[in-house]
Amino acid sequence: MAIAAGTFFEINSAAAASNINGGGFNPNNANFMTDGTVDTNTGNTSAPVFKSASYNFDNGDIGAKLYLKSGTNCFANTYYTIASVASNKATLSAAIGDAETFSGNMCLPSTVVGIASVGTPTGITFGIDYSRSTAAILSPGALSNIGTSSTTTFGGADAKISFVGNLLHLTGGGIGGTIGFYELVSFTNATTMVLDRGIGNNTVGASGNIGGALSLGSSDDAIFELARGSSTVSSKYFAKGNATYSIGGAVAVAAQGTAAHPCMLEGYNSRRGDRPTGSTRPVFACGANQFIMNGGSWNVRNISFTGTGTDVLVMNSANGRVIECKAVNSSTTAGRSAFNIAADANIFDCEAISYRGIGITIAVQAIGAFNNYVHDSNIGISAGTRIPVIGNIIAGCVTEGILSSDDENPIFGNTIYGAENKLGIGLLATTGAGEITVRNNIFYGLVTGISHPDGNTHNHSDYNTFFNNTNDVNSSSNWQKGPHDIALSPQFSNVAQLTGTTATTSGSVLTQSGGDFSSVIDGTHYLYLVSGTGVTAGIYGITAHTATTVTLDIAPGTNATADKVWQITTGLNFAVGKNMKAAGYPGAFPGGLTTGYTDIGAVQRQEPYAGSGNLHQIESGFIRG
Amino acid sequence: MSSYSHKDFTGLSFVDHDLFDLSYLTIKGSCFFQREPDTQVFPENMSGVTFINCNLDNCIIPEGNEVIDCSTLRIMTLEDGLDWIVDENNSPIQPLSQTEEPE
Repeated sequence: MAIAAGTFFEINSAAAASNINGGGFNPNNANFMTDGTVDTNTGNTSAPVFKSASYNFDNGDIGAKLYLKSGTNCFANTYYTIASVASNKATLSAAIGDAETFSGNMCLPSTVVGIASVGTPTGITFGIDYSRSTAAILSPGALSNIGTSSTTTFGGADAKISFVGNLLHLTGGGIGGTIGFYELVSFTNATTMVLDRGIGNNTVGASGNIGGALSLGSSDDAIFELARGSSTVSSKYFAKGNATYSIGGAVAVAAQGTAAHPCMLEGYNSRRGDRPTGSTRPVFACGANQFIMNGGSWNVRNISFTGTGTDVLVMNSANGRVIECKAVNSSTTAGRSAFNIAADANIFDCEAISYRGIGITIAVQAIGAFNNYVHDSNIGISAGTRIPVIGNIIAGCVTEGILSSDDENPIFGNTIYGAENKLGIGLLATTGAGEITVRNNIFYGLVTGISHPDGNTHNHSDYNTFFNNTNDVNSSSNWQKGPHDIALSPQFSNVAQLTGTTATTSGSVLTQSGGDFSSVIDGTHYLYLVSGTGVTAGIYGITAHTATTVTLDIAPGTNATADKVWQITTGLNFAVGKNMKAAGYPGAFPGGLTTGYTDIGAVQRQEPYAGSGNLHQIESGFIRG
Repeated sequence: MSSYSHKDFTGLSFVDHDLFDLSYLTIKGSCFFQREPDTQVFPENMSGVTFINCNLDNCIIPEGNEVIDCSTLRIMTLEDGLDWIVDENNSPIQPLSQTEEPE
C-alpha cells in the first residue's frame, strides 16, 4: 500500500518549516471510532459537547478538526473545529458556516447548525484530523518494526486511537527505516499501531511527526507526487490563504486523479470551500520555475501564481481545469506565458497578465478559455486550432488581444479593449487561418479591430460592435463585416486613461512633471511604457505612487531626458450601456418562434428582473401607475 | 517569525531602503528571486538574518546571515531564450524547464 487515494493534505504558511509535519488525513479510513455521542440535547446546537467511551479528549485536541464520518441523523462528511475541552469532552464549533462539509468533489461551508438534526445522536463514526494545526500532535522518536511488517511499535507508549487516519512523516530513518509519509491505519494499543506499509526492514529508532500541516518551500514536487486517484475518491490539497508560499524547487507533478474524481489543489481564506477570488488567495511564488501539472485529472483553483519562467502555471493535465486563479508572469523575456493550457484542459474565471508575453496560451489539445480577465500583456490569448474563446474581457494588450494561431476558432462574446488612445490589434489571424467565427464581440480602442493577412471569404463575422478604432478591419478583402455589425459605443461604466509624454525615470521611479496619479491603485493598475530615451518599452506593475510619480516593480532604465511616453488604463469597469443591449446574436432563433436578447460583449447587463419581454412589462407598470 | 515572512519580493531590492531593516530577523517562506545572477538585494551590512525555505535564486547573501533549506540557484536566460541553471562563470549546467510533451 501507499498513501491512500482520497487523502486530504493541508498547506499552511505558519506550519513547521521544510514540510516536516504529517500534513494529511484520510477521511476514508475504515477504522475510526464508532461510539461518538454528545451531551443530552446539544447535537443540534451551535456548540455540541462531543464525547466517546473509546477516547478521552484532552487540551492537545483543541484546534484540531473532529471529522464526523457518519451517524444516524448526523451531517456526514463534515469537519468541526474542537473549540474547547473539559472533562474529557470536546465542545465543537457548529454554527452555520463554521464547519466544512464535503459533497462529491466539493468542500463547502456548512449551512446548518449543529452536527445532527436531533438533539442527542449516538453511534457516531468519527476521527480527529490533526493536520490542520501548525505543529505536529506528536513527534515520536522510537519507532520500530519487525521485518517489513506494517505493525509499528511506539517505543514511548504514546500512540493514541485518535491518530487513526492521520499521516506520519518519518523524517529520521534510525536504523533500517525509510523516510516518507505513512498513514496510521489502525490502533492496537499505546505501543502499537498498524501503518499502510512497513516503515523499513527491522527498523529501530526511527522518528517523525504525526499531524501538523505542510509548509511548502522545500522539495515541493515530492509533496504533490503523493496524490492519487481511484474510481471513487481522489487526493485533495488545501492551501490556506492570506500568505505567500515560496515554491521550493521545480514542480512537475506526474501523479494523477481520475476523470470521475479529479485531484484538487484549492486555496481557501478561512474555511476550506470558501473559494476566495481576490487578494486573500494563497500566492504561490514560483520564481524562475514553472508549476506544472502533467498528471491527468487535476483541478487547480483559487490560487494566485507569480513567476518569470517560460510559463507560470502549466496545465498539461488531461481533463484538467484551472478555475478562479490568477497568474502574473513578470519576466522581461519575450514570449512567456502566465497560463499554458494543453491536453484537454480548460481555463475559466481566471486573471492573467504577462508583461512581455502571453496571458493565456491555449494549445490545440485543450478545451477552451471562458470568462477570464486577461490584461496588460503583450498578447492576451493565443488560441490553437478550434479552441473556443468565449466571454473573456481582454484589455490593454500591446500587440494583440486574441491571436488565432491556426483555424476554426469560435470567438464569441468577448470584450476586446485596447486603450482610449488605441492600442494593438483586437483579433489577429495568422496566414492560412480559416473558418474563424466571430460573434457578439466588442472591438474598442484598437489600432485594428480584426486583421487577417490573407484575402479570403471563408471566415464568419457578425453581431459585433466596432468603436473608437483606427481601422475596424485591415482590409475588406481579408475580413468582411457582417450585416448586423454595429458602430455604437459600448458605453463602458468606468474606463479611463492617464497619459504622459515627458516623464523621466530614475531606478524604479517614473516621474511625470505636473502629472496626477491620484486615481492609480497600486497592485491593480499597470503602466505601459511606450517609448523614451534609455528605457525598455513594455508593461510594468505599479507598486506605489505619489501625485507625480509611480514606482514600478521592474526598473525600466534610468534616464533624465523628459521624453518618456506612457499610459495607464484606470477604472476597469467594462459593464456596458444600453447601446449593447439585445444587439447580439441570437436575435430570432431558427424556426421564427423564439427571439433572444443577448447583449454584445463579455459583460451582460443586469436588468430589473428576468424573463423575455420584461422591458415591456416594466413600461406597462409605469403606464398603469 | 517576522512580518517579512511569506511575502513575494520577486525582483525587489532592499539595498537603499532604510525602512526595510532586516537585520536579526527570521524570514520564512518568502521569495526574493531576481532576474540576473549575483544581484545585490540586501544591504552589505545586513547581518543576523535567518532565511528558512526562501527562494534566494540569483541573490547575493551578505556574510553573517544564515540560509536554511533555501533555493540559491544561479539562473540565466541564455541565447536560446530558455532559463538555465548556470555556474559561477555563467556557464550552463542544466535547463530549468521540465515541461513534458502532452500525451
